[in-house]
Amino acid sequence: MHKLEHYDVVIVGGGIAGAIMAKQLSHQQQRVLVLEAGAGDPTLPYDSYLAYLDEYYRANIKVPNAPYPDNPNAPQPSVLDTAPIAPPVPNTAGYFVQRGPNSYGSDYTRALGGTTLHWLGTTLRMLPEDFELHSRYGRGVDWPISYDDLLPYYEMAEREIGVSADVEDQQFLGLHFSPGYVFPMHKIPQSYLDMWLTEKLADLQVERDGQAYPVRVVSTPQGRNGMPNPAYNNGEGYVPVGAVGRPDLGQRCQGNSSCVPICPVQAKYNAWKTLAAANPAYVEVQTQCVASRVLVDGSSGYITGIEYKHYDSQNSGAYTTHVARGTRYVLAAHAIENAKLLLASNVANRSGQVGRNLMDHPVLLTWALLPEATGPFRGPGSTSGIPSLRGGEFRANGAAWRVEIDNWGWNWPTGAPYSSVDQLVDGEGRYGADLRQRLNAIIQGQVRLGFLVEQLPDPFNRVTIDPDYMDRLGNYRPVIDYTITDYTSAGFAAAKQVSDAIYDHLWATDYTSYSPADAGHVTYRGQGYSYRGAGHYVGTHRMGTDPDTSVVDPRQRSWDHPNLYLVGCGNMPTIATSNPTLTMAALTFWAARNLLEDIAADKVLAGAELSALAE
Amino acid sequence: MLDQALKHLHDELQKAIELEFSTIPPYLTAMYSIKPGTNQAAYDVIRSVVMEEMLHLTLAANVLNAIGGRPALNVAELLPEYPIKLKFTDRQFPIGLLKFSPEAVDTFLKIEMPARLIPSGRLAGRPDRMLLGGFRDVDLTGRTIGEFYADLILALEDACAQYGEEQVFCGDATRQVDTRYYYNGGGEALFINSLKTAKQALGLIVDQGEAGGDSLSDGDTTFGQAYEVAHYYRFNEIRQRRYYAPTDKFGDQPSGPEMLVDYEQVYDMRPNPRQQDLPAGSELAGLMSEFNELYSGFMNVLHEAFNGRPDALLQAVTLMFSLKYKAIELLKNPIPDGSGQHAGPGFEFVGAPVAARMLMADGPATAEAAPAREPVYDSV
Amino acid sequence: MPAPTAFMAFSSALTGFSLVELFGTGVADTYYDALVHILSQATVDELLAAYEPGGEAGLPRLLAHPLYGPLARNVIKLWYTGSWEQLPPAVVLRLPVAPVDNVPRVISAETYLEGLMWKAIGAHPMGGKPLGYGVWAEAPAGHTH
Repeated sequence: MHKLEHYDVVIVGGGIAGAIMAKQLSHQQQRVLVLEAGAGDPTLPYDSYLAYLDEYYRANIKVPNAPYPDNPNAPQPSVLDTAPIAPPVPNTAGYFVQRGPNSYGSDYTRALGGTTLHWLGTTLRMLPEDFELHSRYGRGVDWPISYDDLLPYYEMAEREIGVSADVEDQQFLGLHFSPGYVFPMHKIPQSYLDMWLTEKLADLQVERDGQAYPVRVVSTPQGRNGMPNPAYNNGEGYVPVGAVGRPDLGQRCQGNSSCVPICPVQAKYNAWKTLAAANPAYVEVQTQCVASRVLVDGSSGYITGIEYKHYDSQNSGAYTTHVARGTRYVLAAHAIENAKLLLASNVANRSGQVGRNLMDHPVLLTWALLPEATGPFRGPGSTSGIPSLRGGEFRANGAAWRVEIDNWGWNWPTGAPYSSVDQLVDGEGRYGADLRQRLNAIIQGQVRLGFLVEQLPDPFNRVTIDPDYMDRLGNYRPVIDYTITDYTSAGFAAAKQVSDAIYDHLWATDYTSYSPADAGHVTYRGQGYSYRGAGHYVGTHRMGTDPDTSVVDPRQRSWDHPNLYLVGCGNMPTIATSNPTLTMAALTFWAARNLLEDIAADKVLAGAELSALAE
Repeated sequence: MLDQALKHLHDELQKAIELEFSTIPPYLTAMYSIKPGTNQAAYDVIRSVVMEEMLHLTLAANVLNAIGGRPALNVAELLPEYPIKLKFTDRQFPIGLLKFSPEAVDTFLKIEMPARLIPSGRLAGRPDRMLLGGFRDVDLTGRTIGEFYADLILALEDACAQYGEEQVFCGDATRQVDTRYYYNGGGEALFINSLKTAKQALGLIVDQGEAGGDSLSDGDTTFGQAYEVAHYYRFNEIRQRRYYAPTDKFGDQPSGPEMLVDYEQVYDMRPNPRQQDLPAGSELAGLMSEFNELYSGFMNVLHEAFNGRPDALLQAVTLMFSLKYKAIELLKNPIPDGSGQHAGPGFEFVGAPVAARMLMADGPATAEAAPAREPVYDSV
Repeated sequence: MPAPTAFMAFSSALTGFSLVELFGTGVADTYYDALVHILSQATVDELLAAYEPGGEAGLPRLLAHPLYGPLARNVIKLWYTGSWEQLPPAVVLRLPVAPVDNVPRVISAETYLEGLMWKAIGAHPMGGKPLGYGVWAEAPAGHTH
């Protein structure tokens, strides 16, 4: 399938992490092969993106993966497959085998471009204190690197993704920036709802663990095109990157209000942009190639190849097996897929940590009707949040969270406006002008908050493999064990209290309801809470300073295999309260730098050997 | 006299603005008359030209502002009433608001006719000029758009040589519309403060419209962008139902991949729609009136954007979205007279609406200024 | 086939949108065709015949009817959402509706984008007809305090 007998680097996965690696390495004249399990034309034709858009329009249920057809040869999880689990009977409805006891509620996309095809585009940095969770609060683990170590790589990630934000707004809870730093683009305008809330909540304080916190509405950094900042890069400015194949489109967000599942004009970043910016002379992308085994030389520990299954058509399970060989290897297949592949190959797992410490942001949604019209269903999914309680002493006792303010009414929790139409037409028998007016009135008051609650690394929250559960190509399906601990539930309880205080303060009518029949439901201190998945798979091959308790070293290289790098959110030791893509992208730039350093070191070494020979 | 030279340049650039603008409604009308999901290639071609015309309009206004002029875009007498004739040349042919049709495409070809294809033009006599055929029945004795700009550049150079560049480029820099406010338009809104930048801008207009040398291309070779030829050739692709190939030379007919064009998949719009032709007081007349109000508001905002409030361009772009939806709503409506023909956008300027005047006075777009865009929302 | 006048009048009364607004979607014929395809010409004719004598004033009675009521509500939802919603079993029993036609679905990409609910709520369909950069920062129209 692939063209060369030998590559400098073989990368598994064509999402954002694989794309950043391919771009960075190819621009240093490294010959790179990218193996993508899912479908997608490697030439990235614009029409194939429009086909996704058409799929979305015609999808009856517009879930995040709706535009990206399910592919039995590279199956992907769907939020429609989640359900309450009654152990020991697993939920095997979809791609995942969920053993519970709690349901893991997230999906991801297996297609060229990966889940950036349907991400929301939130690009928050982690707080400095997030890197020191254990030292500061006695919880979880510390990162082997600090915020300041990562800072230059955050800047690279913000350039690659094209982040719109104002530095002035982002300096809270210890977040700091390089002197004179500005983001590539000015902040995306905050929604009318955001500004309405800013005003109404200005005088509200809430308590957690006896300490008072303000409820500050702050614009959210976003990976979508806004107004370029002429001061960027010491006055060089920034040119927004439009749609791949149609660069005149998407140079600025138009407010299509469909970031998840698909931005129609690619004003929101997706990994196609990075793939298109790689050096084409040095990058070969092969899709429909599912990595099935990492081959290793038993004596040296060096990786010798990636075995993969190539299928011609999604309509048939027929495949051929190939081995791609290179000097170095990068696994960038996703936190779940990386772990699966390592476990199936029995590599990189001296620590026994591969697949463990699986985390997500369980999202507690709350929804209410406001006494005023605030114009929902307009603009990006979220343009502001409430970060005030992302950090603090309370983290010794319970999970922190970030509040996302949503611009799309009750779309996520209830399926509005469809559900509102059903309610008015079928439930209340309305029709004609009365229906039209009533629909407008109830939608206009809809507000929805999302509390993205942190989880701690827990060795028993994990993905494993089981020969009883295979997909059509004979690759393993992920088996998930997942428990919401009391630490996270304490976060739910605090979140609900703050939500109550906010709605009370706004004179809003709270319509939030949680049912034990919901897929993700927990009871904590007598109260029930339902959570959803955020799609933030983190932790399955974490970095650390000790090879006995971590899978990769601080440079993102496997402790066990000197020519193997792992990238993606699996490397993150903790999840904290920021959407992980930006941090993961920063870590990937750091990994690319380190891998190039390895290559340079080898050259020096080879040079030294040659000179020794010559003497 | 410097004053006279500047006055002449101001007048010519104002003409340029009117010229660039006058082509936009006919292009938009044809584009919006295409039924959804059909003629995608033709739609994209017209759209790409429109976006570049918007850029040209912006560049012309930036040049005019750079030399101390005052672009005018909301004066009824200056705005086109369709069908129009190109005002600035002595070659005259009607430009109407037509549905997407062979007639419309022929008109677009005439508008974008490159200099060397015109028998009496300065570049006449090229042996290959007849190969394209098409419009030999049209008496084209005047300047092409390209020739018009070439004259303008000469006049700018003369003025600078005679009175000094700083005397000529005396405009207020804060009146320039830059990339913060202008986007998605097939090119960058250049900041104009010198002869060099002015020539860059005017040269870009000509290149995108006509292409230079023996090339058909507009020179834009951004990675990932399809091979793109200048406006005339782009419309010729629709006419010939075939794309140009990068190997095609001046005088060749397109030899690239086929382009699907289906003139049946178009709303059958009555040519040159006008408010007065719809039954007074009818719902449809009401919709047309909303469109014309919106259009007038758009022109007012655009005028503001080019007269010291560049940030108003952001609102102008949002008004263009609303205009589009309103135009398509008209195009989808049969005229209730049994003719089977459909309504369409009138592009009739009805003066400065109250909301737009408030916007001008009040500074940045605020909640109170929002009624300028009200027709896009539910009126219940 | 072109949607007959009676269907347009019926639709206007049911949805609260004027004829010009309904024609303005460009999908009136698509809906009429879909209804005829799913329900049969005879049933659609019967439904329109049941509406015509009473007109708008007779709608409450029609909507209370065990057969016409659910059909009329599906016509409303068709216009509002661009989708066909599954008819309840009790209704299907009385109609010659093929199960394959009664599955919930979006009629077409275009009908999705033309759903009237988006206009009714003062927004635009998610993923289409965007309002432009920054419009979300403006107060909603029809803003009531």
